[in-house]
Amino acid sequence: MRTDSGSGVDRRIPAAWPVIGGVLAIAGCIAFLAALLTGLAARAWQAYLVNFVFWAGLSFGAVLFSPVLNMANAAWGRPMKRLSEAFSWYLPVSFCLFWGLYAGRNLLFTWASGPAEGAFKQMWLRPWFVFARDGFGLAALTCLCLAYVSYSLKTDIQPALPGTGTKDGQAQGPPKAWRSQKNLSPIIGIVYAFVLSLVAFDLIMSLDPRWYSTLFGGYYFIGSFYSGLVSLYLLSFLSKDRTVLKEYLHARQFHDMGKLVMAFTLFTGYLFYTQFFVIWYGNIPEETRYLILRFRLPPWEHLGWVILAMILFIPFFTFLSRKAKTWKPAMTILCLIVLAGMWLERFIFVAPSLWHGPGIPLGWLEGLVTAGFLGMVMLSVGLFLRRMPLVPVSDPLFHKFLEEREERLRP
Amino acid sequence: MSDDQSLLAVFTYADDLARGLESLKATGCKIRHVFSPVHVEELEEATRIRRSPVPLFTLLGGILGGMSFVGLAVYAHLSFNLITSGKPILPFVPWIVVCFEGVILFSVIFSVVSWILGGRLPRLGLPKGYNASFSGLQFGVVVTCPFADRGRIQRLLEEAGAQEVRDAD
Repeated sequence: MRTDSGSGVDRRIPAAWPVIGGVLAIAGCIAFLAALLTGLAARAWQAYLVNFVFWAGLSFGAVLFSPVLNMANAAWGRPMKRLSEAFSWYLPVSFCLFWGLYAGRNLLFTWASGPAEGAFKQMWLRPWFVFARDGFGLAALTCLCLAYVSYSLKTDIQPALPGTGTKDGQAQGPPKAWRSQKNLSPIIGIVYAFVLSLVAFDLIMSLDPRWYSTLFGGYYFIGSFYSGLVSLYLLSFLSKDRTVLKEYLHARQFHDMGKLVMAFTLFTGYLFYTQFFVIWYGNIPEETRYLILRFRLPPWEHLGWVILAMILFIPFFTFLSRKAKTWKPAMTILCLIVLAGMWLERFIFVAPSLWHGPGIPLGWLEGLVTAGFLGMVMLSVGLFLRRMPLVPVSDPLFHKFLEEREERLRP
Repeated sequence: MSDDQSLLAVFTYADDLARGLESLKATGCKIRHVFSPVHVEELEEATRIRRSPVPLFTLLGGILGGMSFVGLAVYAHLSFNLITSGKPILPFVPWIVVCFEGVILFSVIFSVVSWILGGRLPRLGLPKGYNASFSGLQFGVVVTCPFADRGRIQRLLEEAGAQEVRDAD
């Protein structure tokens, strides 16, 4: 049985987490297949696309947290490094799920069932070209993230091997694995922005091929990073009392994480407003109708404002309190509200372009498909956290974190 | 004539000072001044001093600034009553920018004014016991106690980690 170095105890997340995840995943798969066979295929694929873009973005965003800390040379969030990396095990699953969209392309994308308008769009939105470039981008980003995580785990799993930076207890300079992590970090950041922008343009914006926003890609990848940070915040609270991380995660880390999440609350709201403002000011029909459909016309008009409250106003005012940022019940509820808001935001990007029936298509089918995706994420993250060391003991920035923790406060 | 005496204790570490303050509170001595070059949350909690009014002033300034700038925009637009580019006379969407600018400007002004008023600036004299190192690398506390307790209080502060304890006068 592997133990976490430094703690001498083996305290991992409960086995129930991946088990529950597996059950939810199976339930979601059954519901999805049942819907395909019972004449609800359009709704099933719609829910599939919403969940794909939400959970893929969230997982890439959560994994990006660790490279971002490396780029900033930040030690404060080091105890959360492994929680962030745990989402990497969902990325290959997500890549496979992406190819599932190919099967449902004719029900989702107008450009898949007939040529798009305009010469450039006809070329750009050819189905094989869309899936080839997005598949290549997602594969590249997934491979980069997995390579990064494997370098991160390498020295923690086998800390005594030659070339891992220590010999007879003496430091041997920056180990190769650490140098590789540092080198990969900015590459992952750049490829993340590029690939997620591409996914946003191809899989979400193209649902309405006449509408365009140059900021949409940026809005999607920043929103995904925001979702990733919130899910990490939630995971930190949930795993703290059950694992060895209790020794390292204290009020100070949660306070810092809360400040970071608040910054991205504001940044996401800012990006929304910059898009909204430009479209409002230009007042061009091909741009405004996208917003009018979502904010002015039934059945969507109330949902748009509810989402804005869930991802901007409620978290902003809650995060103003220092105590709230470190209080587990408040933050658990808030994180769930924000994640639900971000899911609904992806939903309102996708559904109004596809759904022309009465009412909002939110029911048992969407709930079960979402539970299926949630289950796959829980299963992947749960298995990672049960099998891998939770504390990055060989990480130089983790050592810096420990030193700073021991330092006494002086001017 | 009072038999009270003021002692000045000099500390290097904030946690030592916080511990010293907690010990002093148990003795019933009066803590006159606490000097710190930086804001330390633990000291605020240990001294139980009243919360700084600066954040409240900043919030009030922000609300006032946002409202007054939007009010000014409403007044100006209603005065001219012109429809521009098909937009409504009172276009609230772009006024978020105007409101934001007002919030920031008035928040800053109110913060600075509240620092000056709250700090009772300008001060012509320095508080008893103050020296320049309390604005640099050290913390200090001035405590008043009965003359008979002087030895006990001095020991207590030294045990808490004070580098030096001397008369403040």
